[in-house]
Amino acid sequence: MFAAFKWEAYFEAFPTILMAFTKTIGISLLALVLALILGVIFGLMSVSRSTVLRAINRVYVEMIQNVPLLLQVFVMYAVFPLIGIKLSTFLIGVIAIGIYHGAYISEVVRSGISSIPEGQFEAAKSQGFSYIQTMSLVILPQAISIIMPPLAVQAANLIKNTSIMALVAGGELMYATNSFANSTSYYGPAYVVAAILYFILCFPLSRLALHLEQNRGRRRVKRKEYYNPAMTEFDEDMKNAVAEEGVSTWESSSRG
Amino acid sequence: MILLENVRKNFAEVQALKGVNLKIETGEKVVIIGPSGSGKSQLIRCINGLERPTSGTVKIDDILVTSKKVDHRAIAKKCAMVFQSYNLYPHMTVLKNVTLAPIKVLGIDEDQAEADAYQYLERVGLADKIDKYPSQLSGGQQQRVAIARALNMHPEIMLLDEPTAALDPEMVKEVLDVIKSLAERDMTVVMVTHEMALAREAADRVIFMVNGQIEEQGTPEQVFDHTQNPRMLDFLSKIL
Repeated sequence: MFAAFKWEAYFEAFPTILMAFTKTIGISLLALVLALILGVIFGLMSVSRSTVLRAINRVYVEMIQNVPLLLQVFVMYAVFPLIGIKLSTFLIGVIAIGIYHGAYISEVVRSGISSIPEGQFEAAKSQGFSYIQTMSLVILPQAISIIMPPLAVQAANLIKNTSIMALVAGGELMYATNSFANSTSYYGPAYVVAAILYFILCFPLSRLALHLEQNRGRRRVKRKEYYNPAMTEFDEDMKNAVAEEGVSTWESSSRG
Repeated sequence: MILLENVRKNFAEVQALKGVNLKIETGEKVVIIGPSGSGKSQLIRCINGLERPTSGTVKIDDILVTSKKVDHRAIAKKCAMVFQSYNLYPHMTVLKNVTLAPIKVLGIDEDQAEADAYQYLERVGLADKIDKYPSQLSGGQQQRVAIARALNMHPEIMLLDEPTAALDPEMVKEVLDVIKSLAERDMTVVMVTHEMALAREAADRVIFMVNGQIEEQGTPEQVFDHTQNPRMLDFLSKIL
């Protein structure tokens, strides 16, 4: 399966694979930009006072989250041309995956904003801030630390999901890997290297998510220390327990 | 002048306010007391439009607060609020907390807003904390920053919603001292509180609320010392 001549053949074809890899990166980056834009817009809609805006957000999120991404890609690939919309596979990848993850990111943004205490909105309102000022100066800067960890997870998922484009001859890493493997039957090297390449892209994002999550926990513990200078024995015990067990127990017990 | 006419506020089953009429003159210091659930906080929150009454009207001078199209910026220019839970912006330093709205809402230039902020923070005894974050301050200090933040909006009216209720006992005094100094200014002050000593000392008028209605009102002497109202007597016996 991993005979040397197979590797040799694979590395001869490697420039093609690398080209496909850059295409994977390209689709991922553009789809991520689209997903972020949609995610923020629809996330804000989901916490708006207007029932119409909230309804539009719900329809978007539910439709996208409850239909397989592959099916959405197939619709753009096979059905859209029938109604006169012809898109390159690259654009289909960017749009379909961007819209798909935009729905998830809008949920991430929504939960981030919802986690900000009502008092912050009230303080901003009582000081006369407009809606846009309230969001941009007061709410989103606080929500961002809550939004970032799941956002990094979404980015990693998005990159992995670009592999779905292989099924519509997308020309990206998974497609190039498959076509090499199928035409030569040298599956071993092809799939191992593809796995490594995806891993190289996604692993830093997963680590980043973890790092952000832990940082947030640590800050929270610190804040609590300052918050209550007259710390009781009970708090002291809690702090020791946290020091021993890590931040997760503290997270769940110190909310609000 | 603040004018409330027949203000009602209903939540699903509960009538929080049952037709309140109230006129507060410019410069008057009004303290609202009453048992919990009597609608005190609802009432004060209706004044600056944080709550919209189910019916009735609220006016601050010529601003119709209860209008659907009311401009919260216009209300904020007249009327600042201090909350029970401080509600400082936790991601900003003390100085930023106190200057943000004056700069962004009132359009005061940054240097002026900071100079004013420094002056008010000095008055509440926290001029040395301008670079701290709210989480690095005690509850009492946070509430004093919140008062400085409200003052830096240069309001004609100051609303305080149970400003000492969330504080540890040893921190209540430092906040009360600051509030007392407010009473010496010519600002209109409306405060919900359980601090009867403060009400007696600083209020021109005490309003006693029960069940969403104004049960009794008058000068502190009338309400605390000469009342015949059984509910008022009952309340006082519990709280004093």
